[in-house]
Amino acid sequence: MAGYLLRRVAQAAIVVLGVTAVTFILEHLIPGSLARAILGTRASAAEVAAFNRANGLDHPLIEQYLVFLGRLARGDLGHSYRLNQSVDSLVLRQVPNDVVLVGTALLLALAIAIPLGIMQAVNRNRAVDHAATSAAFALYSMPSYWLAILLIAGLSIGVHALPPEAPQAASVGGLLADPRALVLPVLTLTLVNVALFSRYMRSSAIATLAEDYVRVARAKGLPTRLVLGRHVLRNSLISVTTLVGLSFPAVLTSGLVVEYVFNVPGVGLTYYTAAVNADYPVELGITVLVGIVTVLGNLLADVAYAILDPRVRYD
Amino acid sequence: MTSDISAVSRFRGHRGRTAALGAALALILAACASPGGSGSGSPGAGPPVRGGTAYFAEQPLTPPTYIFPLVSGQYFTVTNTSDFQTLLYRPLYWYGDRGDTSVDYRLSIGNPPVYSDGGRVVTITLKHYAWSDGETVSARDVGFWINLVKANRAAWANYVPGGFPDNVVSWRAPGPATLQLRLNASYNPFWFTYNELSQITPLPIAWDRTSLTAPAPSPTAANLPDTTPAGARAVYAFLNGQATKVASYATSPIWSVVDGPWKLAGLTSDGTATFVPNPSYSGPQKPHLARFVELPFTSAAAEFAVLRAGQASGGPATSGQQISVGYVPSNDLPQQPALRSQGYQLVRDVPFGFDYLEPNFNNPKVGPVFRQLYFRQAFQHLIDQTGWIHAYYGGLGVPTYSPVPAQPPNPYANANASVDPYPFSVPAARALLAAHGWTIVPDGHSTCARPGPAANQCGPGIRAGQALDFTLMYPSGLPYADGSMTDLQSVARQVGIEIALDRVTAGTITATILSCAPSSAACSWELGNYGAAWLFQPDHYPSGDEIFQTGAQGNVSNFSDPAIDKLIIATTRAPAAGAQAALDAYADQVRLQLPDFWQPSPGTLVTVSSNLRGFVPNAYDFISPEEWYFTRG
Repeated sequence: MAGYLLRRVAQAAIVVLGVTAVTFILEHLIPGSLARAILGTRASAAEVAAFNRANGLDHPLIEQYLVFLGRLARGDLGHSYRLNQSVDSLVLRQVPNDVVLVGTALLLALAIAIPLGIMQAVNRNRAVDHAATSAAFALYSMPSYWLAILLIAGLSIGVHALPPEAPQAASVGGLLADPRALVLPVLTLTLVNVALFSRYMRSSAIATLAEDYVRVARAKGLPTRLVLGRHVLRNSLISVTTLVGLSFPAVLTSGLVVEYVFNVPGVGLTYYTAAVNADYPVELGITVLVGIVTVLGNLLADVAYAILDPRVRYD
Repeated sequence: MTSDISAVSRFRGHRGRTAALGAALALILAACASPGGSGSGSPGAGPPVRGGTAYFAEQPLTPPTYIFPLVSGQYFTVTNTSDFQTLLYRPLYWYGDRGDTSVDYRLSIGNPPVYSDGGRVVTITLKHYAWSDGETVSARDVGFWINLVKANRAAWANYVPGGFPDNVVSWRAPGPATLQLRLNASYNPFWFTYNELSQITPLPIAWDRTSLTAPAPSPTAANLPDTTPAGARAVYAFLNGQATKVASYATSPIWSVVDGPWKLAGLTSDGTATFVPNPSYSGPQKPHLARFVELPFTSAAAEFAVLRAGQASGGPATSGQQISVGYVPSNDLPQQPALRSQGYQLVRDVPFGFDYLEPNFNNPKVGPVFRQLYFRQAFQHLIDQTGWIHAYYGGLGVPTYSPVPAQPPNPYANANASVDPYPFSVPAARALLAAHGWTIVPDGHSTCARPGPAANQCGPGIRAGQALDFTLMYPSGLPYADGSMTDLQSVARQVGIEIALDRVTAGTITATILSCAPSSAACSWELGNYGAAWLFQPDHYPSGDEIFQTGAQGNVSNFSDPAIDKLIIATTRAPAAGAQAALDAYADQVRLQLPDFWQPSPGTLVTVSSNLRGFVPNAYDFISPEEWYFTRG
């Protein structure tokens, strides 16, 4: 297992390096003048030249990339062209907020979707299954933007029950200090994820329920609660584990819509804005971060397989 | 929308009446807030109260990020300059006088400038203003600014080659409160006052250093660093370095020396800026509010949700979510009745400027077409400005008929500025094209049937059979641009002009629509729409030297007309007595020659808390929260 992990880490480093190279090259293939995009049309030629000089843009592309890698090795992700702060500080500040919002929603969604999926599988094709399936389809097909707006219109503007924006604190402690304001953004993300996870869990549980070992367990008189808990749940979780592994990078990026609607400055929205405004250092910094988290998420999913299914071995 | 304008006027009138009938506090507040009776008010409003926190909505995703008033293009945003720096560091002159475009000398540090020696010498006397470190704002502080700008032109967003400070040969301070500038030529005093003196922000001598460890210098000290170019560059580098430490702005020994009505109490990394009154502010308008807070938003939708869900009234006795001064996103303009029923005052804001589509005169393919005046006239006839304002701009925009626009009210526009020389008319466009040798194919491709330079031919450089096909680049995310550009595409088809719409990011627009040589790859763009108007800021005089003069930085369409160049130069050099005539001649010629295609300037609808008074939209987007106050009830 240790050797496997080392190999995966080495592969991950290569993947992340490749991601940075591709992103770096793509960014510089965008037509037009980066300096003009940042400085505006009224910028003088002298100002454009000064900007290019100050940011190393007057050097060959390969040299710029190597400088970027050198800084990356020192943990320096660069300085935002627009926001006048280091990308490191930007990301370090926003990631905890995203983790709280999206992470809470992810955990809540799993806590709801896993038993819901099993319950649907056990009651397959009955009224309760149809009702849950219909709700899941409705939520899954609904853009999260629309869902967020509906929740705000109903619960914030309509009955003034909850604030329309997430807590405006800069720290995790501040976020958690205003739980009412967390409800709508977390609910939006939770509902969408429940719809997704419950469908996977239902399918997986239906397949598991048809397995011989489940029939044997029932035949030998094991109570249903134990059959479901010991045999069905554990074996059905494998497919959901894949999904959760893939969801790790989404902690950073899938919050974009929630960040946009509920006024939470997070990594997803910052990345989008940086892309629109040609803020290359921010784009590159977040790309590296998401690359690392993606690889890490897949690695953790692989490890989880081994824990859930002892037959899985990575030698 | 007319009602919105009249609402502003009505508030002004009642402002004075409230003051006359109110208690002693009301009298003091009203008198201090607005001697001229500016500000909003409404029938039945309660008496003014001192204190309270006003919350101001920042534009989406544009938090304050740079505090040093000598700002580069990188950080040159309304949020950084008009909404942030000017609250702390007062410019020499305050532009936008209670809704109009004039200098507000009431709020200016400088008295009206005096021009002498045929317009070559400008003498400025300063009123008594004090820095928060106890020093007086002096002519030396203005000289400090000039020295820094002269040595760091490339780092300054407002630098225009040949303009300030190139046109200032020297400066001297005959007295502590008197500054004299010697210019390199005679300039139109209006142009110089509104375009060049508008650039100046006095800086405290406490900033004239190159390290934090060095003691703050005395204003009377000799040989301060800024007096040599190398020293001035070092000072700029130091101050710019300090300005990158955004988290420490509120506690910085540099940035806490202010002469404005406000001090920065805090700035979060996400952009929440909290201001408190500067107790040593010596200017004419002391803040009435206890705090002023600028709130960041990730989107206009998020801002609007808070508006709709929050309270429409504020003041010391209220708590909870509120936006005292916000805006209605263009998507949500139909919700005006709901906002009114909540109690918000709605105020229309149209900044001083004009909007246009940018043709590329140097594009090898379509440039020859754009160079034909008859074609530009025909194309202008296809732009339904009035219809667009009604259909896509929520009634808030104003039509553009001249580079010296009639709206907002200003002393520069002549009567022609309100007359559309090329009104929307598809038949007129068709007739112009047909008269110049084009075979019109509605819903098809009109082609040039009579190539050649004669008056009834297509024009030089246009080939036989050439079609009128253009690609129009415009920014995504603007509903009014989506609507109007789609309409233009549809209308143009009626005369056989095919417009391919290319919806791109704002960054792509700015990076692509640039002046270019015809042979360069960068000249492939054909027609562009920035999605934002040309605003007369930071240069407030509506001359065309920065946009229509041959080779000007803002002249990205590569337009060149020697006759218009002469008229533009006249607007900058005319003596005071001939200034308006020069401006009229320039405006009348440009509005007819169409160096670009006029389209409506978008306006915004500002929301103001039901009991907030003193807010008046500024023609250049400055804000003066020191004039705002809450009323009871």
